[in-house]
Amino acid sequence: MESSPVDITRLLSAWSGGDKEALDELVPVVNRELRRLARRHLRPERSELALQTTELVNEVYLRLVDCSRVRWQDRAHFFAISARLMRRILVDFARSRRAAKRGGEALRVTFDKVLEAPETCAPEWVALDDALRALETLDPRKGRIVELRFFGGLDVKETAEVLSVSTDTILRDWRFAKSWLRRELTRGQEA
Amino acid sequence: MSEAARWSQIERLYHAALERHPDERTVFLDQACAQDEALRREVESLLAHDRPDSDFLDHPAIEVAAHALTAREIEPAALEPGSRIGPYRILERIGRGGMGMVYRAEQQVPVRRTVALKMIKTGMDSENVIIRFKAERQALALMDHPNIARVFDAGATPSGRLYFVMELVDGLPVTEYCQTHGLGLRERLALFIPICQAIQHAHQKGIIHRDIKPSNVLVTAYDGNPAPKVIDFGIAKAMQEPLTERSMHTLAGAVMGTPEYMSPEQAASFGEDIDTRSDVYSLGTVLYQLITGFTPLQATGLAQASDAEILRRIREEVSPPPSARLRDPKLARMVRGDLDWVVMKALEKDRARRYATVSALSDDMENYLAGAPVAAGPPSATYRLMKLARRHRGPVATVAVIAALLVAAVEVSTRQAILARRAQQESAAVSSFLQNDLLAQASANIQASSSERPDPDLKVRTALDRAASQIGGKFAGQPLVEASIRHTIGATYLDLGLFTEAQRQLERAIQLRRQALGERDPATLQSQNLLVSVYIGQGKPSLAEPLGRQVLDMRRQVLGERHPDTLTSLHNMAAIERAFARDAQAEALYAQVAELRRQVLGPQHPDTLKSLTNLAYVSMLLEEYPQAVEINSRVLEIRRSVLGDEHPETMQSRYALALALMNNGQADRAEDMLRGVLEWRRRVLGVSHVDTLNVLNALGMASHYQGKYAQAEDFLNECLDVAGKVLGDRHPTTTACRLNRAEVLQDAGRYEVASREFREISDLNRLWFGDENPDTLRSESNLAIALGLAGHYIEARTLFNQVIALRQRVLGPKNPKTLSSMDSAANLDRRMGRYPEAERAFREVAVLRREVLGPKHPNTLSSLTSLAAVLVEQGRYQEAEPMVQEVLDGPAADRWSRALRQSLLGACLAAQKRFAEAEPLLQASYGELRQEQDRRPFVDRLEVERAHRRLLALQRTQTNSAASLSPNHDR
Repeated sequence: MESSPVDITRLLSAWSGGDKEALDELVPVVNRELRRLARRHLRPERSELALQTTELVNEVYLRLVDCSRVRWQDRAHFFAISARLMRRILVDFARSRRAAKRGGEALRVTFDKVLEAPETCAPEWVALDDALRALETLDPRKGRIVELRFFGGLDVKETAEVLSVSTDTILRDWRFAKSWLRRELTRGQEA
Repeated sequence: MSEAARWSQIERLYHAALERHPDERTVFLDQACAQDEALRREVESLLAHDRPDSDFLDHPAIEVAAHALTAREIEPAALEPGSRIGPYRILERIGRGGMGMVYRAEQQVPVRRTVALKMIKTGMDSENVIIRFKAERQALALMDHPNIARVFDAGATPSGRLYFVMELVDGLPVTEYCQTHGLGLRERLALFIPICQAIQHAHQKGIIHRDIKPSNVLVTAYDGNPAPKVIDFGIAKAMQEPLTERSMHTLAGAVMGTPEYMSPEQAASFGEDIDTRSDVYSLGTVLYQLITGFTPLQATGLAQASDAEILRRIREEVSPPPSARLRDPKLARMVRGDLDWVVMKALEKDRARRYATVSALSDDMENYLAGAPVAAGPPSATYRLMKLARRHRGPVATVAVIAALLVAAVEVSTRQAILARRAQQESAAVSSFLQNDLLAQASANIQASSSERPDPDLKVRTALDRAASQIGGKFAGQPLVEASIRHTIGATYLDLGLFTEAQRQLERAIQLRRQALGERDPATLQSQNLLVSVYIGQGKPSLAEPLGRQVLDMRRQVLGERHPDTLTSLHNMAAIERAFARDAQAEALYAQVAELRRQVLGPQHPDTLKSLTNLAYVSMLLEEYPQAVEINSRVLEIRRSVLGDEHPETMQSRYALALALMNNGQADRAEDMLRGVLEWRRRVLGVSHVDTLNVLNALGMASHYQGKYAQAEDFLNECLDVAGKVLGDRHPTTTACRLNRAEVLQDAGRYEVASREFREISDLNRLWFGDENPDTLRSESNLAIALGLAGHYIEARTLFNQVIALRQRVLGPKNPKTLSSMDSAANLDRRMGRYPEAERAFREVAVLRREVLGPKHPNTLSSLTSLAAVLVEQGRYQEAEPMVQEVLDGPAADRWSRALRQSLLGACLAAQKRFAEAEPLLQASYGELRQEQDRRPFVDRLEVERAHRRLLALQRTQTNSAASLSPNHDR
């Protein structure tokens, strides 16, 4: 079953217009897309190939949105929106997951794994989002860098290009931002 | 200090501190922060959290998500009691099976009962598994046996996790039960019989379990008596994925059963069908374990062994009989003899030697318990010898059978010898050679006396090689005998596809026969005929042709026009034409041979059918699809009536017919037919056989033609998955499949993905064949088109330019393929709105095409049409109109093209305000295009849109002018 791009675009605009239920519909679709993509990109025999995450993000996004119907001012705009969308999808879902108490559909079970992935240092999504929001208030550029790099999957060079700053700036900001976020997250745990 | 300033300060100090050596930082901060404790604390805490080596946030979110989603050993969180899966409410977890977790659940509708719900681990292709399961469900529903646990349902959660719902059986695995309840030998055997009966019942319903092991045989107490129940029927088959060595990861302890209980044919590499005897084997392992407490295959080292090693051991390792594994001498004595034989017969590696049915096994068990003689006797002497000889499983016959073949072949060739006496002498000598030398050698190996180690590698090839090497000295004075032997050995090599060796033998045979018998002797001609086949097989038609012609002429003279052998030569000449790609000539010849063979051999003779099949094949190459359909249908009919529905050749005809139908616009019929072939081939040849994979590929194409893109992708993915592993990347099936899939993606509108696929294919082609190879160029062309569709216009145009330049150099500036690239590039320009460039490009192509193909050729006209279209788009109607008119006046074209051109003409007329003529034209042509769009999946929608726009533009103009002319017009 493939959702036509039209449905997804409608869901997206509904969601950004404040329709929370649209997200509920959107998530399984995103889930399915992610799984299909992931399966393709991470087949065992291809594990040696580097995962081209920017492409993966782009692809999810292109799949989800009928790009010809959206106006992109420029490349930076596109990436910024993609990253933000990715962030919202992942985090909002984690938020709603926390809200629902017990049981729930088996649907949730698969996504749980995302929240726990032990192999990589995956943060608790909701806490990260809270921390990131705080960072954004203090320093918008650093917030954008984290959003672009972590949620958007852009590398340093691409991020620099999108934000029109030097790679050095990105590296410095990134390092600082990570320290700051790390501190925020550990502080949250101690609390 | 403002917030912002403070923030900057903190940041500055942070970076400055990092630039300093760790030892110096404290001092630096002392100075820099002066008395501001808060500031210092802030900076220090940030520094404390600086971990350059950590990968925090370094892995992008989606990668984390993606990895998590595909991690093989995903152990999802257990379902909580009270949660729902479809109509089932989870009550509690009762276990963890090899496949996933098992829960007790309550079903509400349509009936209220408690069931067992088994969640399958992720990583399975849920949709296909469910489809397979549902196919089995019908049969499963018919099973009604007290010792079989029913499987009620299968489904998938919204997120795609698979689950099965089964009768809840509250019991222990049979081995465990026997142990905890202290059952003696006879009691255990008694328990075994109803298990067999259950499996037998299933077999009678056509269900093979495929995954029998102790944990699938649960024993409960019923009225105080132990009652075994077999569970998980139908699941193993539904979950079956192609058994390759690499998929062993899912084998050990998980999906496809534990290696210890797997039958040898299940472990055989590929291409073996599983039948009921596989269950017999698995039952044998359970029985073995019930008696001895061990599995037959020593579990030691199994966990560490490589997958290939495990499979090999299953196939080859012969286990010691049960009595040998028992420590208690009394028990061992009871088991030794009859019971040993029963168990070992069930565990035979060669399934032909096993009990043919499960009831045979349980009958023998009852015999044993009753003290009656058992059917399984000690292995006979011949069997023991055969076992030693055959260490290698394969479709090739044993040496003894080859020898028989050779004898028969020799007799056939000598039958044509003119002098009977000579024939007798020859055949006697040949037989003696075969018996004394070839067979003796082989039987020496078979007999495996204790002092000699049996030769494990004695296969056909080796036998032949040895025979071939020995001929030389032996028959110095008997050239004809030598020739006969070499001929038949050469023929055997040819059958095996070993062309070089065949060539060597046959050349020598020809030489000898020519010398002794002369040019025109049928025997000589026969050897030469075989050599022609060898050359064709080697892909050397230039060698085959002269020889073939020679043989044909000679046979015509000696045997006559209508002799079967002459017709064989004629058939070969047709094959040579095909090898030269001179398909029109091949077609004529095949048609001729087919007709003659029909008259001489009869319409149902296999050779007649062979010629007809080849004729159909060549027709397809010539795009004469209706003819191909007609011929293949005829051949299929005959084969069905003569050979039956399930014969491999009948299947081949069905496959060929399906391909013809597909290209003839009847893809839906083709799909039905192909599904039938697929089912059969999967069963008989196995899922990894190249013929099975070809059907999958064809199904992908048939789905594609019908616009069923998702289905096409499924088929092609399945094919590619297996073909990549089994046949390798370079195999024609794999490359064809990959290309098909890319095209499906493209036509489904997934341009980005398709581009990626095309790029991959292109890269591979470049790697294998080089930059200038025609296949590489074609794939680069495809890639360029895909990129264009995906919107990467600049890249696409650049690539096109490269391809065109290369093709101009390699194929020539006027080669149709070069021109076709130029045409595609011009189309791209048009799409990009670069009309001047497009115009120039189309003009160039049109001129060249007119020169090369002629002014009336469809492709020439098509280029002219495109040129006219570009002119129209630039508003140059006056130039365009005569061009379109010329094209329309030309030879009749298909509906689509004609409608397109009419639409253009309509636009030109409208521009000249000739509305009365324009409107019907635009209306009608747009209607036609819409119809075509619905009927055919591959039309260019953009053209339909353009036609629509032209119509709308006209209607708008009309309303405007109507309004301006008569403002009081009555609506």
